[in-house]
Amino acid sequence: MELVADKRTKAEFMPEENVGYRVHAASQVRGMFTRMRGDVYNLAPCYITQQTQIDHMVDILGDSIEAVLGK
Amino acid sequence: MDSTPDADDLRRDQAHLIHSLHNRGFQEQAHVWVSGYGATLVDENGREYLDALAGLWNVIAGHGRGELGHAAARQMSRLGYASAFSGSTNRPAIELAERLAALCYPRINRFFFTCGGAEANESAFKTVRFYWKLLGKPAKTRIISRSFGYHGTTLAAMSATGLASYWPMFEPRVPGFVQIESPYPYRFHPPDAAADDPRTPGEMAADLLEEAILREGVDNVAAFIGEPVQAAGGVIVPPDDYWPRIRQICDRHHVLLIADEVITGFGRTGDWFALGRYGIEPDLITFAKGITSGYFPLGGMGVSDTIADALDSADGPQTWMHAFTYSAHPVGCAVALANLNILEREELLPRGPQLGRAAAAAPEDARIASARRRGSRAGAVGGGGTRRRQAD
Repeated sequence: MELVADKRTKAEFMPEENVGYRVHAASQVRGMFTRMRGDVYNLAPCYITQQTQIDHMVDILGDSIEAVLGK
Repeated sequence: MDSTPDADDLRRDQAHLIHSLHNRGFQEQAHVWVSGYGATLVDENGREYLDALAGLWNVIAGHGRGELGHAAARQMSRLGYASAFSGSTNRPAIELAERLAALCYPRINRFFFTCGGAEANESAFKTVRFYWKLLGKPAKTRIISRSFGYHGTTLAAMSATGLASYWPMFEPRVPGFVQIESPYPYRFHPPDAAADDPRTPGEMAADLLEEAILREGVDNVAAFIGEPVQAAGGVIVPPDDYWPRIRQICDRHHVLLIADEVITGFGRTGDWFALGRYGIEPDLITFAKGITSGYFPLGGMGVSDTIADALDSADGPQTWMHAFTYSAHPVGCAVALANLNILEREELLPRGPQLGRAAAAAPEDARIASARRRGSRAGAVGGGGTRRRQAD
């Protein structure tokens, strides 16, 4: 999931905003761990991940983005 | 973060450990991971985390698989190590290579094992050079790769890796490594393309390879390396017409195609290996990670029958003088066999695409500009400042 400052222009966030790092931190508070590529949140779960866990991951990611970037 | 790492563990860590991508600031808040089960990791404070990346893309069968530990213990008790240099071999390595030949592309039936993906790619780079020298074309040494590509961080692998942040403090890069633009559908802009260009974006992105080969000189280019889906670069799925055209271009200019399947291999896209769905085969494949679900460091390279025949023909001063102490490690191979047993017995491969669909479908969210998925890696492209759909 690539986070961009402006969906229309696809402009990236300024590096000093550390958006990716902050979303990663926010998702850890909510109980999910990954590795970022800059402002890209990578998802590649274990094959045995349950459907409810996948749903939970999506919720955590959404909440974390909202916590960092606002609604 | 609201968890409090054990201060003593972190003090000792910082006193004596250097970490991959070492960063003292990150390490101040490091997790001390102590256990795992299924898709869950547990740190030393007992806090649980959904493991969104299956370790580093590798723990495909999930955490806490005692069966893999038992396989390692059994093999360690019987034979913990023996050389597998020419003149020696071991049964787990034989069985694993035979099994991979059945799972892999039809033309790829011979395998060399390493400790991981970077060593696998280094092996592939050396093998393509070796192959062309044997064929009397010693100038064919250059390797073409792509931006956003990740192929490891040893010196040649780093030089193929197309993430520039990995380079500056270790340059100069190895000469003879050249990058072209990624086919990243969200950001690919064909250079100097006329408005009426009839080609698709996938075709234009593939044609950058042909331009690079002609620029470098057909007689100087040994191989093109690419991940079928660029993973560490941000889960980039190329257009469907990209890879078939890449194969055609490689064939037209006698350039070998190396598929870096370190992440896509062993089911991540829903198939054992990822290029079959495009109707093509590579000349070499590199793999690691999922082959042992990360429980033992193991990677490797598979080569086409043509390259295998060349290897068999070489002798004396032309011998393939490439080696690792831990190549074909009997314990790693035994763990890999047990891991393949799990993947097959539990029919885990068909789950890949199901999970990907679930994750891509779930966030029907105004901020998501586009979702990209292939198998169970889900990536999406989104932007800030809009409202996420309420989960319930």
